Amino acid sequence: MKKFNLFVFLLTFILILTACNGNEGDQTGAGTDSEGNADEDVVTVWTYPHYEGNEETGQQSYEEDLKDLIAEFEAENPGVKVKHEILSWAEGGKKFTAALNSGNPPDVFFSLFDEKYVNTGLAVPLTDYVTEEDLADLNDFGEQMYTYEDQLWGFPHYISVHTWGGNRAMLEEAGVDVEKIQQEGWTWDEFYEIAKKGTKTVEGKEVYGFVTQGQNEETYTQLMMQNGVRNMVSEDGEFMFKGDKALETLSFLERLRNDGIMPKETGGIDPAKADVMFNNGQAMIYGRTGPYKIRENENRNADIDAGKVDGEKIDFVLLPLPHNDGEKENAFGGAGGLMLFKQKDDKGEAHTENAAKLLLKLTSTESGKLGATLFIPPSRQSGQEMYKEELKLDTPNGQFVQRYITTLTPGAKLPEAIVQNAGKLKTESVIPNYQSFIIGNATAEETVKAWEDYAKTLGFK
Amino acid sequence: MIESSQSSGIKTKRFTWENTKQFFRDYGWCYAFILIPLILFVLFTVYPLVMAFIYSFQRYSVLGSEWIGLDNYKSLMNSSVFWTAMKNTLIYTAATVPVNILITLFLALMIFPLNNKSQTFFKAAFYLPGVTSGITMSLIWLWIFDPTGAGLLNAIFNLFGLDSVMWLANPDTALFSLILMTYLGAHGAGILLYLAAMGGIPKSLYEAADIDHAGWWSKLKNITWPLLKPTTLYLLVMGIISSFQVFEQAYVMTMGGPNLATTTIAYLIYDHAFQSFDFGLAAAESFVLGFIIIVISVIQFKFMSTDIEY
Repeated sequence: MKKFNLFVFLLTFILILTACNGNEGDQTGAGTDSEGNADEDVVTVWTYPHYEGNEETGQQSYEEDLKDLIAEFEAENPGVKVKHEILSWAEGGKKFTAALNSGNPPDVFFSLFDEKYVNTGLAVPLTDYVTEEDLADLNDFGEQMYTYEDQLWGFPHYISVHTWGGNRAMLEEAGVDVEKIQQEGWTWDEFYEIAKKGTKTVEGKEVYGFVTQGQNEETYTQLMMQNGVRNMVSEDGEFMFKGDKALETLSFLERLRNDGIMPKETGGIDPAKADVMFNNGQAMIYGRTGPYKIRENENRNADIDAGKVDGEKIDFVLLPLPHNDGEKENAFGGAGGLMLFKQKDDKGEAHTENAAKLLLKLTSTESGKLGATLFIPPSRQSGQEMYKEELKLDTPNGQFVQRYITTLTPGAKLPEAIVQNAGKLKTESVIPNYQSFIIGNATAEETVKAWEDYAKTLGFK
Repeated sequence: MIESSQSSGIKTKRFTWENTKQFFRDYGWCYAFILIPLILFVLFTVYPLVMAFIYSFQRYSVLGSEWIGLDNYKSLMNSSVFWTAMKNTLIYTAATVPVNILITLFLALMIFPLNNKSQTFFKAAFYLPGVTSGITMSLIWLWIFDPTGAGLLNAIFNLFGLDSVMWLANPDTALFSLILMTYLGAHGAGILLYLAAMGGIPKSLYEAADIDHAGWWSKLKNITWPLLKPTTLYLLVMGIISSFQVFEQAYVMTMGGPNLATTTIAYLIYDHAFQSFDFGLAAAESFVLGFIIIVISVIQFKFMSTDIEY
């Protein structure tokens, strides 16, 4: 009996130790990997499912394309093994945040640039690893987006740009010259008149001229950019959502809501719901969206033709955000790419160098396929050249994207001292008060005053 | 093993090497098996708790935190958002726990008189939704609360000629909507506990009451309810603890909005830790929350505990 007890005890103990040690293989540097191959340096990359496969169009999924690049990298770098993980869009960021703040981030992670990551001390600048050729090939805006305190903290896959989107058939029915707007832009007043024409009741159902999400301040922030205000907080700590510009922008949104051009329920509409409403023909224009919607829409149309999806096919057009009269178009966008990290227990320079090599491989010219598949300009000039057919640069949408990205300007890079309070200002005052405003519980004046008062409590000018 | 000499006549052993060895020969396995959960408890509960307590006095940084004394506690005491979250949490707790206990009791009283087969059916029917992931349930509720006519609740409202309500987007209705979710689900475990407790009440008490011509209400008031007090206390304590920690619904359904109307303490802790990377402040908030829960639990035990045995 005692031998049995001993056996049970030891078995349980070993199982617990094994469970506690379960993920070590994912994070090891040089040494033995989980398959028992000695002296292999294991580099970890976490990224997202940027696009799905589609049988009708023959499109491979991003993970399949990633595996191809990893296989090439491993062949070029014997002794280095890559472990990749595809995170979910919903939870991936949180998983990374937890890993980063416990000192054990992956070596390479897909992310927009975030000062907070750099401030942890675990992000590694790429400055020493990129070549002159890499930098010469990189789009200037992409480089600016990942540059902070004179260092390059990541290498972008693509240049993303936020746009609004429209249903060409509905726009043309309202007498709109789509290409003219794509090439010349439009003012708030012009947009208002067009959206008003698209607002109607069809077979007892409301069709709105414009639908947007109202769960956070994004639409407002992007319209502020079209009214001459680029950032919520400037680099010298001034709160910018104040005064006449803020009031004008809120009043424009208030007018759209009160006149029924956008749903009075906008406060309860999330981005997915806005997308569904557009696909169902309940909106002529919606936002924000982006060039990725072109590919999504093509796949949806193909699925409708194949009988896999119910619904009407849509001829989708990208549209610029309208700007206030007298102001310039100012596209909001960013660069999506890979950032390099070390762990709290640093695995050494050779490991970091391997991780940097992998990062540059995964953002190489061939990786421009990611951008091209999403219909977003790859960040490398060579990638744009290689995938020009896929990017359909000669179509009206393609020409619009080329024009619109020239209006992109990078946002403020906040110094470490104010990054945290800027985040609190946004989540504890700007978003909550905007939510009250968009459902009609607060006036534009009350909203701006509440923002300004809270900004002062956090030490902003 | 370490028994000392007493004057009470209890058999004692002296503390010797031989006695100690004998004790471990007799009882050593018990300690060995206790050791495993103890190690897990220390690793996954005590250690994080101690570290969180230390972090609450620091400006946390993964590469070296800075000691800042009580600054995190002072900061949260001076934060209007913290007190809004506290108010929301208290309202949520006050509105959900007592009502849910009454709903659970009512359902248990309805099920108890049924035959075994029917009881089993209803037990399973009420318990099964609890097995479903909270996220899945929340997604279904998102559809029910959809602000346009596409949502179930608004479709019913529209049917009767009433305007759609922005259930989750209006600060006046958002917290109520989350409370409503609890009224319409999650009673399964409580029903099982009440049914088990009701089954344990001696039938003789009801027979005696019948002899005295006691009615249904009188029996409920004077026999069932008092004898269910230990179960009610358990449900009350556990209900208050879990409602003070409510996070999932606020996170999935409203992200703490609109205008902080559904920001609970647990959501604020998450927000400060994982959005602002302010782990020190989040740890301080966790300890304030823990302290409040302990105080309320002690008060509940003091005023509601009972020595009922039957």
